[in-house]
Amino acid sequence: MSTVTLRVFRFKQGDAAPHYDTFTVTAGPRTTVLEALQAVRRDQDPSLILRHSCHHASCGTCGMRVNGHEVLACVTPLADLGPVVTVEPLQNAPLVADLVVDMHPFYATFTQAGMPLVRTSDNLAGSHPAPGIETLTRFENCLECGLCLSACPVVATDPLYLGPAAMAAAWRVVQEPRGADPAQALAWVDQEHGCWRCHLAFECSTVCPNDVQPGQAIAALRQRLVQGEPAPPRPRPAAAEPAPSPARAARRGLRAWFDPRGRDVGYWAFVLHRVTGLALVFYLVLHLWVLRLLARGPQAWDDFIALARSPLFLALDGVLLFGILFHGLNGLRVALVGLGRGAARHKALFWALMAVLVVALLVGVAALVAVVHGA
Amino acid sequence: MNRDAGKFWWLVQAFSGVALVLLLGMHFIAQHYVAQGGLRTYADVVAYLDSPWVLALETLFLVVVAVHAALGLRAVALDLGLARGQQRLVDGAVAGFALAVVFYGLWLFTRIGGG
Repeated sequence: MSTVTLRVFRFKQGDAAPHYDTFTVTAGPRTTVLEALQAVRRDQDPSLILRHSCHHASCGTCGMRVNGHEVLACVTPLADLGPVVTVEPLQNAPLVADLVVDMHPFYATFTQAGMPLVRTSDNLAGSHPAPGIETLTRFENCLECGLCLSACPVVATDPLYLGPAAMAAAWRVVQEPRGADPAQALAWVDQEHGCWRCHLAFECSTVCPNDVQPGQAIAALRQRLVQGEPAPPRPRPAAAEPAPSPARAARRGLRAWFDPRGRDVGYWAFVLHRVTGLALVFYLVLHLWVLRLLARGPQAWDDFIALARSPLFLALDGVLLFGILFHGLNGLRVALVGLGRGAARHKALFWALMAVLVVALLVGVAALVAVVHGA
Repeated sequence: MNRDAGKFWWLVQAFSGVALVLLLGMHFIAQHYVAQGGLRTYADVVAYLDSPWVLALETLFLVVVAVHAALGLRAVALDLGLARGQQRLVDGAVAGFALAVVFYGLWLFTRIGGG
């Protein structure tokens, strides 16, 4: 048995701002985060609000962020997480209290996806579902836990974005319609804030506890749309309109792009692609501004060239070369994967391209050093 | 924006990006290897742009980079979740940016070409 300190996010409606409370718990080798939180609620603070049900990664209700990672608390061993463990609610959904967020906006997107692969047969014969739950409707392996929603950098900033889980659901309709109309699902995702808004960070696939792989599903949807799948006129779904203000306010915004906790390589590729892209636009403007010296005649230009051969300028050229190489090579990956090519091996593709970057950068830096030494 | 706008602009962004990788490579090769010793003086630049092939390459590069940059700015802006009116404003602004880049670049070419 070991002692673990839990730093738990706390917020109740009416509070001015959230804060963190610390609790000390005793953990055995198989104690889960959910069990520890339940122990806190039982023995230390009954006002702690959390949601759970099945305790075996089936219901998807105990999704939360643990040390910055989106996980199901019921299957996350506490012993593996270090002496201090930070527990927070999912991001990008309206906060209800403490570790509980409102999942209604998230569930609504499944309805708009056409409720694919309705598994009404999961209802046992003679069962009596609760009022309002006439059928057990869920998208195959998806637990509807919302971890992907919390991890997605685009959901964090774009309140109109359909989101990874709903588009994975739409892809299942296309793959296996079972009487549904796949063209309707394609038409639904074929919009600015649908599959074309995704930047293929693949955080959704990384955090998914059930290997639904929404990122790959979105890439597949794009591929199908590019192949010219005929689509009927799209009905105007509610999700295409601005989300209600609580959902909008719940999104983390740009801060989420720069939160390093729990993020995988695809996420950082997305962030660096954005940063290098903006920097290159700035460079483009700067480059054109400098080129105006050409219009002023030989003396102005030749003076600038002398300045441009200084070591400081050439060092900045090295930074520029990195930006160009990263944006160009990662852009090739985004284009390929975005068209459904190599989505399953996007990480390997990224690292292969980064190897190319290193070689090209070394060659470029060697050329710059040669200029400094007057070669 | 109609339904196809998302797909259309994403494809333009992707293919202009791939084209840029090629054009940028050619831009570097032309400036550093085809032009003997690189473009180190004003006279080198004038001589370089005197070739119609070079001028065509640089003009194409300018247009593609302007389109790609404008669409990239638009994508970042849309990521931030704009209202419909703001989105139209962004569309207009990035189109203006692309046109300004292209016309300014062409003006420079004519000024330099004119000696």
